[in-house]
Amino acid sequence: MSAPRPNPLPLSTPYPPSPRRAPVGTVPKPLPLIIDCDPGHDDAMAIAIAVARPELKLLGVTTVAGNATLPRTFENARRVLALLGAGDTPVAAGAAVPLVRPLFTAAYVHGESGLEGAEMPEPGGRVHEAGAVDLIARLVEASPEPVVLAPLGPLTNIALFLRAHPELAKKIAHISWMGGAIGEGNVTASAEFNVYVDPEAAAEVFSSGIPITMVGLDVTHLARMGAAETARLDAAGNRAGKIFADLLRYFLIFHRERYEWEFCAIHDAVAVAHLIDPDLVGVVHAAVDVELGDLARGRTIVDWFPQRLVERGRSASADVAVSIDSARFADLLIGAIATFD
Amino acid sequence: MSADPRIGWPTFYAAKLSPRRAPVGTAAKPLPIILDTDPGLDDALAIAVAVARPELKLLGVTSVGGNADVHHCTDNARRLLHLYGADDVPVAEGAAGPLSGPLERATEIHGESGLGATKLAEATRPLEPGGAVALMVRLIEASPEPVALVPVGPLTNIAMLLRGFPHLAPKIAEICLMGGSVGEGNATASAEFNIYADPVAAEIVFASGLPITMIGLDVTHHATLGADDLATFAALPGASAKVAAELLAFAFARAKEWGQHEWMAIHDAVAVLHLAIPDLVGVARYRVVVDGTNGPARGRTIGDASDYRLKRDRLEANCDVGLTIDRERFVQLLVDAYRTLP
Repeated sequence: MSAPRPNPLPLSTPYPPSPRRAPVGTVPKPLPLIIDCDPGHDDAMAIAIAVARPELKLLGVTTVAGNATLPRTFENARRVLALLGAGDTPVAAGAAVPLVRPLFTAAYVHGESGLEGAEMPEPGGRVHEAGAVDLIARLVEASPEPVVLAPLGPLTNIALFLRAHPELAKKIAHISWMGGAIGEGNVTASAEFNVYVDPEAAAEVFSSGIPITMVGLDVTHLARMGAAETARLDAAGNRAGKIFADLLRYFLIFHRERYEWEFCAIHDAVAVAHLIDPDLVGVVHAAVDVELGDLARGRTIVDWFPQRLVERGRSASADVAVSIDSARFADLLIGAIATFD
Repeated sequence: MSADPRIGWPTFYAAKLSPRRAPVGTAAKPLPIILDTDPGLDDALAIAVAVARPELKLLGVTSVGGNADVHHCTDNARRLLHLYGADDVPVAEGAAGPLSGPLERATEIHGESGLGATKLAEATRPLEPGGAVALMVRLIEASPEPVALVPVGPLTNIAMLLRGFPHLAPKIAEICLMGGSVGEGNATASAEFNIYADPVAAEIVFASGLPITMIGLDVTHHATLGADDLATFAALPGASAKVAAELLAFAFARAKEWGQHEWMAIHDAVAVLHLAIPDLVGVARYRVVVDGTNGPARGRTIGDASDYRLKRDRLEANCDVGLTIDRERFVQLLVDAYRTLP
């Protein structure tokens, strides 16, 4: 029978697992993908997966202010593309500030540059001067297939894109977003960082009607890389492996000091990996609201409970990640990084 | 309860259990308590425990609109006390609705009358004049010892007491309330019913600076009775236990209708038992702030147990939050309580 539960946030009502609705890329039919990011250690690893894996076709990378200021995230994204030999990937800078609020960065996590801890190569990528919204629009227009967006930072660019190009919404197959939390937040007890930085943008994206998967802290805190995984990256023997191992060692400092964890959470890479491996992440279907008030600012309120949704006249239109196979994730990430020079 | 294959609420920052701060009564020195309640199926069991446990001295019962309309709640409280042979306990009627906004009821769970389909004999003791706050003031003033308040419904009466009679604060030993959740809510995904029903009152109580224990869904959803337990109650001698079995049967029938497990969380009884049994509920120190805004997190008890964040924001913990409970012992305590009742 039930012993006293050690779980500090015990469950009120259990979630019924639901079938995923996000598309999955395959080698014969890769998913066309645009990554919108704010690198960021974990962003860099997400890009590595997208470049390495044949199930994805990385059309372009756009950047947003978040983990660091925009000039830094833009430069970092370009350095990562250079490192990965993807120097011809279109890359553009997007929003320097959130839709409504002043910028709040995570220099306390990623260091002042946003990508501290490793010697990165000179910036690469094919710079699209007209900016992120224009690049996303052109790539989506030009793609014969609907495109998947993987936003890994605040949703400012995505909200601006949807405002500027509502006619292209139907060509977005899915949004696989790293952000939010069903349970506890990180920057506050209520909110995860990406949604805390630009809650208005998140609210717009969730109400856009575009199919979305929320990959939040509930699973990304289980996407862990520690000393053993760092050693595996070192042992891969390639330059990318060495640099990513250095990045991990830096990223670990924050996790150790703040949480007393001997591993780091590779949040952003999960949202990309979800598009490759259909068995990596489990989801529940839910309605998601974003709190815009000051007290619980940026909380993602995830409601899956059937009776409540009926009463509220809401549908469980979002996939929300609730489980992950951690070992499988580490293998996928390390395997991807090992494919580079 | 059989093992449920479904997924639990995931969490990552371990709140460390800490020693409880709430006082505990003993048989030699019972703790004086006032129960503020909106009966309510689980309230009926909470009142039974408050009457039965020798570690508690039930000074009075006040009612509040919540699970049902306040007149029903008042009437139910009086009839239940009469059933339990506690005609010496005064009852007064409290707030008909929240400090602001319309009354939220939970009649879909508790039935229109608040006690399912159960009909109880009329009480003999007359209702106290002057209402709930006046009774609480009289009882607290008359008590030689500081009194523990046990609100197990919306916090309207308690907020009115604290706002109206601040000089009584030193004579309130503890507010051990059933309400809130640092995890998922029930009225909404954010909020537990009692807090959602009057977030303004809850804001006042949590900001009062008085010692608070929050017995929320985090622990009460593990304080359940199932079909086996119903049979145990039905087999006990005495009319009180028969009524408990009837109330449980009503709740199970409702759960079945909704396609849910046939068990019922006896939320309110946990708050009462926490003051009688020192090691039943495990607690952790949290800072809890109530969201009184009109957004989707309305009525949420935002709980933060992260030393890192509290230090960063220069904040301090303000309450004990119940997180763990030994369910089997909880069930046994309920059964034992009913054994002593008529």
